[in-house]
Amino acid sequence: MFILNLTRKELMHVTQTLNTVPIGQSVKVSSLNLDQATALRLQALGMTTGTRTEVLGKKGKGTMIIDLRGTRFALGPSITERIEVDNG
Amino acid sequence: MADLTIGFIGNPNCGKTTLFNAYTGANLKVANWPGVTVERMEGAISSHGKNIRVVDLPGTYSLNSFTMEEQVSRQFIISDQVDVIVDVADASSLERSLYLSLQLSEMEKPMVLALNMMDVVEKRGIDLDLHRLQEIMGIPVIPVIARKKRGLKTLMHAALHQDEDSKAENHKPRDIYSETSKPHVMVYSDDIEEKIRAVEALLPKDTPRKRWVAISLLAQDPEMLKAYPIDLSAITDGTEANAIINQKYDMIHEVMKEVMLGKEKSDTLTEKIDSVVTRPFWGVLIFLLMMAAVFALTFNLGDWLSGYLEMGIDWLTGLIGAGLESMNASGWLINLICDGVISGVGGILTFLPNIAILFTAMAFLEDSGYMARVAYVMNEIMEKIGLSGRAFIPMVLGFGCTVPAIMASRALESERDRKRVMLLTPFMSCSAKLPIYILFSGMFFAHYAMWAAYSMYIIGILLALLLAFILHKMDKNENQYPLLIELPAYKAPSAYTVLVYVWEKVKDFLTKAGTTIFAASILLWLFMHFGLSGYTEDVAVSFAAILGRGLAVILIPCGLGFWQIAVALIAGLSAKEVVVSSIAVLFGISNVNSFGGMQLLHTKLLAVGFGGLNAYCLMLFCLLYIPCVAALSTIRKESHSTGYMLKVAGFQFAVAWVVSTVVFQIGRLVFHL
Repeated sequence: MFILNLTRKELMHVTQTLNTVPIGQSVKVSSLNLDQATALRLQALGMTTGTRTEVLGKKGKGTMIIDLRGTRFALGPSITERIEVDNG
Repeated sequence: MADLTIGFIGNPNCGKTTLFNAYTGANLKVANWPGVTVERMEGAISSHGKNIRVVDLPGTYSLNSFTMEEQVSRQFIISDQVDVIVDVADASSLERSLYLSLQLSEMEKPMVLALNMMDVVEKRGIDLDLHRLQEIMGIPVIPVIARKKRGLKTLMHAALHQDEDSKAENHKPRDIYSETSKPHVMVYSDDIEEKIRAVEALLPKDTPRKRWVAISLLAQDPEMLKAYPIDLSAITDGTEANAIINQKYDMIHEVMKEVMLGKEKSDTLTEKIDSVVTRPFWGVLIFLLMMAAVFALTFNLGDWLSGYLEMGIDWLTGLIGAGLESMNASGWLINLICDGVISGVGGILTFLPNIAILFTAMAFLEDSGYMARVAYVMNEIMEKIGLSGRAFIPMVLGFGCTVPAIMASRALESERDRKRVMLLTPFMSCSAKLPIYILFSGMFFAHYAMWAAYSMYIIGILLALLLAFILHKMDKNENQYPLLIELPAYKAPSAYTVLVYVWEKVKDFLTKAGTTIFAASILLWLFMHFGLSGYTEDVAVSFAAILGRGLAVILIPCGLGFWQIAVALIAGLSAKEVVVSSIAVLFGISNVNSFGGMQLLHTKLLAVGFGGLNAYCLMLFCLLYIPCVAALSTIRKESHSTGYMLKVAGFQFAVAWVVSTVVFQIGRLVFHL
C-alpha cells in the first residue's frame, strides 16, 4: 500500500540506462558501468556524475546523439546501455 | 637552426590545424610520430626576428595516456623539444576546451591560450570576459580568427614572451599575469591536496613536474604507474581518479560562470542540418547520394581531365622518342625510356586529376563537419561486420581507385580498422580493372557481356563484406572501439585548409610516382626485355616469360595455365589495365581496341584452349589478386610495415587463386568441359 503514498515526482525518479531515454529528454548521469578506459575518456569529455545531458538523436539498438556541456557527441549502443541516468 | 619550438595543441575540431596552416602555409612537413601512425605536422617560420619551429600536435580532449594521440602529445610536451605550448580553444564552446587547458597548466610549461573562432562568438552574441579568463588561468589569453588570419602576430608575440620570461632567471611568467600569487591554477579539495603532497613526498627528490606526476599517479594513469612504481596503497582509496576529474569540471563550471556573461543565440544551423542528415533511414540515403555525387564528380570530371593529361604524356613520349632518335641513342634505351619509364610513371600520373578531385570533395565534407555524422549514420550497418561507421568511406572510394581509398583510411580512429580497410579495399573493382572486364566479357559473352562485367562489382563487394564478417568473428578482442565521436558544429569549409589538405595528398602521390613506381617500371621493363641471352625484343624468351611459365603451372587449377596470361598478370602489377595491353602484345595483336583486333585475339585465345570459362576466371582473378604497385606502396606507407604489405599481397593472391579455382572446377563439371 505504501507505494501509493509516493508523490508523482518520486515515482518518476527512477534510474534507467541512457539508451532507453527518448529523444528530446534531458537526464542526469548517475553512474558509468564501463571499462576504466572508456569511462575515463567519457569523464574527460565532461560526463561526470550529476552532469545533465540531452538526447538529440537515437536509432537502432541505442546509437545516440547527445548534448554534453554544449557539444554534440555520437555514442554507440555498447556505451549508452551502460550509462545509468536519472530522469529527475 | 630554429631558435625555439612552439607546439600547438587543442581539442579536435577547434580549428587548430587551420591556425597552424595559417602560420606555415603549404610549407610543412608531414611525418609520423615515432612508432605510431599518428600524423605529425611541422613547419618552420620566422617571426619577430626569430626562427621558429612549429609543431602541430594531434587533436585531443585530454592528456591521460589512454589513446595514441594523448600519449604522443604528452610525451612531446614534457620533453625538452618544445619551449612554448599554444593551447588552441574553440571560444564558441569554451567549456569543452578548458579541461585540456587545466591539464596543461599542471604540466608547468610556458603556455599561451589562443581563443579561436572569435567570429562565431561575435555572431552568436556570446559575451566573454577575456580579461577575467586571463586572470584565472594566469597565462596570456589571445583572441584569434584562424580562418581569417586575425590575431596571428599577437599570438606569436605572446608565445615568444612566455618563452623569454620562462628563461629569465628572476621571475616566472605566472607572477606577472596572475592577479594573486596563487601557486596553481587548479587547486583541489583539501583531501586531494593532502594526498598530492603525500605522493610528492614519496617521489624521488629530483622528479621534474612533481605535482603533475603526483596527480597523474592518483588518477591511475597507466604510463605514470609504470614509470614510478611506488606503493600508493597507504594513500589512495581508489576514488581519486574520479574526484580529480570531477573537481576539474567543478572548477570549469565556476570559470564559465565568471567568464561567459551572456549568449544570444544557439547554433540553430547545426540543429537544422542534423535533424535531416541523422535521421535513421534518410541519413543513410542522403549519405549514399552524397557519395554517388562525389564519385560521379571524381570519375567523370577526373577522367575527362585524365584524357588530356594522357594526350600530353603521349605527346611528350613522342617528343622524347624523336629527340633520342635524332641523338642516335640505341634502340633499347629509347624503348626503356619511352615504353618502360614514361608509360609506367605516366600511366600512374593519369590518375592525378581523379585523386585531386576526390580529395577536394573529401576535404570539403570533412572540414564542413559532415564526415563525423557518417560514423553515426553508418554505425549499425558497419558494426555487423565489426568495423566502425567511418570505415565505409574508404571502402566506397575503392571503386574508383585503391590508392586514394587507402590514403583515406588514415582518418579512421583505430589501427585495427585501418588495417582491415587496407586489406579489404582492393577487392572493390577499381576503375583500372574495367578495361579488362570490357575486353574479355566483350569477346566471350556477347549479349551477356554487361552482366558478366557487372557481376565482378557485385562479387567484389560481397566477398569484402564476407571476409570482413569472418575476420570479425575470428577476432577475440572485439568492441575495443565503440562509437564515441564529437559531432562538431557545421561551418563553411576554409578554402585554405582544403587547399593545403589536397596539396598534401597530391604531393604524396607525386613523390610515390617519382620513386616507387619509377623503380618498378624499370624493373618490369628489364624483366620483359632481358632473357638468358641478354637483351631481346621478343618477350617470349625474356625472363618474364620464364617466370610466366613457372607461374602458369600454379595457375592451371584456376584455368589460367598459359604463360602469356601469367606474364600479363605479372605485368598487371604495375597497373591493372596493363593486363590488357600485355595480352595484346603477347598474342601479337596490334590494335586490341578495334573490332578486328578483338576478333583476332578471340580466335587466337580459342586456339590455345582458352574459352569462356577461362575468360570469366581471368576476370575474377584480376578482380581479386595482388593490387597494383601504386596501391601496394600506399599500403606500405600507411601501415608503416613492409611485412603488412606482403601479408596483404599474399592474402589477395590466395583469395584470387581459391575463388577462381572453385569457379573453374565447378564450371567444368557443370558445363562438361
